[in-house]
Amino acid sequence: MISILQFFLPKIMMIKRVLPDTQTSMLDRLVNRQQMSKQQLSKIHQLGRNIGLDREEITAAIDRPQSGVQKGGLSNNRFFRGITIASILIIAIGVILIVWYFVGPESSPIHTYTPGTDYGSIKPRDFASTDSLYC
Amino acid sequence: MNIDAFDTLVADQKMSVVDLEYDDDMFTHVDCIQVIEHLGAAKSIYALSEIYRVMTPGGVLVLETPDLVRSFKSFIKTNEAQRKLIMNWIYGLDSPGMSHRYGFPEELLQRVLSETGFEQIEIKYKDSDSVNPTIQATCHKRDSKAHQIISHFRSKLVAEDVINLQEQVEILNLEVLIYDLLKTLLTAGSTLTRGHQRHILEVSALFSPRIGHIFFEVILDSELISVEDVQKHIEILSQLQDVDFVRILVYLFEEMPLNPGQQKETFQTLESMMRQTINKLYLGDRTIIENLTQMKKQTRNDQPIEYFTIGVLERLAEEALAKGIKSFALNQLEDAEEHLLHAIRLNHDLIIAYWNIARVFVQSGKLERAITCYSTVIDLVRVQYLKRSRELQNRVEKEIQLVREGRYYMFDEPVLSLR
Repeated sequence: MISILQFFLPKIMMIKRVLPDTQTSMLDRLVNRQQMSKQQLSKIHQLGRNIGLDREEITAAIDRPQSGVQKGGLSNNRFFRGITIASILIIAIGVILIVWYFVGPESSPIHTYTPGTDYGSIKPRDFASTDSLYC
Repeated sequence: MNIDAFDTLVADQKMSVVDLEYDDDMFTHVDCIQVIEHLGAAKSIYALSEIYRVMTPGGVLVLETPDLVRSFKSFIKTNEAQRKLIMNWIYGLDSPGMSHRYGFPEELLQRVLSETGFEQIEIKYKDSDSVNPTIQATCHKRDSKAHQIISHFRSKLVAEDVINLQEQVEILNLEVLIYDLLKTLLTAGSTLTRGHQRHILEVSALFSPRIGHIFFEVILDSELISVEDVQKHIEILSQLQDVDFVRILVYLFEEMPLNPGQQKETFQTLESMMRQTINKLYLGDRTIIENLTQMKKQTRNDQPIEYFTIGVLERLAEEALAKGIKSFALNQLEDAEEHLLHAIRLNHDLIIAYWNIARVFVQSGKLERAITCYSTVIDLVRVQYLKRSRELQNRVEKEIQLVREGRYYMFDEPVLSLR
């Protein structure tokens, strides 16, 4: 699971740029869950304690399940639900990327001089014209 | 009443449009003709806000500014003599107060006016075929307490010299907070609930307690909030100001675990922790201030830091990067290492800092650390430079190979750009 997310990370980052903030936060939490090491978490806990936060408050801030509180069926359900959501997301992203690759905006860019745009009325011969517009 | 910031020959009064010496709700009609392009993006927001403040609800604002789209179109079509005139129209004249610092296409003009609190915005184009094409916006002041409070807030920030209107990046950073405060006020309606007050306290304290303090002073007169509540919030913000909370936030960010590619996430984690802290302070936990006072002694005191935003962290990182590159170029490797590590701690995503520190480690003989930094560069490049990632990866991998072969002398200069 970790290696799948890592493999798709560049594409996920590309998708993130066009997602609304709430969905990027959700995506971040899914991706981040895999990336913080024990050592890093320990350091954050230390910093939190220095400020005056207790363990539950620090954990709530970094959005991870609390040990000893959520063990058992409830946490297992959440874990498997998370796996399911992540899998669906990855498949959806893969499909979008494949479709985007073939029919995305870069494959058929909007032409600056398309008729109907402001620039559409400019013609190549305008650059060669020696007549003043205002004489 | 005709006002001008520089001229007194024609103007009735010499006055700056960002600091109007008039009371609220005085004018039913304001003409702002060929002004905002002289102010710049940030200052024009404050100018429109001041104009909003002094107008009566429903009052009319007529604003004119050069029409960039038609100006550039004419520029392309016409001859040299006319082009000179159009250039002056676009860029202004090179004399005090006469140069143009920014341009306002229609969509930007509509957005700025709407966000300031104007409505029924009508756009017209004047003199489109001349060398002075103009865009004219006619709009009305919305009767909105929230927008009036925000315009007061901006006015107070200017009057008390809290902000520097020449620092466009800082002003636009502040706009993020102001937008949040405006949304909260619009949601609150006629009364600020405890939840709204808590939110305002949190977001403003995390940005700048001083700014938050001023905001609560402004809303004190608005009857949206009781005097007791305002005093409590102001007291908390004053305490945070006294411990130099913004500097502590920057220090804490630097102490967070280094997570390349996770700048935004690290910032959000720290914000989340500090919200908890502010909440505890709000609930009366005095140990928080004691802890913060202790922490203040560990912070750097080498430069002023007014706000805590990702933009500010990035700016500080760029400054540290510049110092690191300069030290590297002068072969002052210890200083270079210190500055570049500082840059990375401020911006975990700064590829060029990792690359330079890798080279510094190579020159210092710390090869394992150099290889780790090179690997980080490759990981970040894959994420941030999708189109050029292969090319950049190849460059770095080649560099690693040459380093392993002992050719350190090839990398005794800093990387100045990723191009």
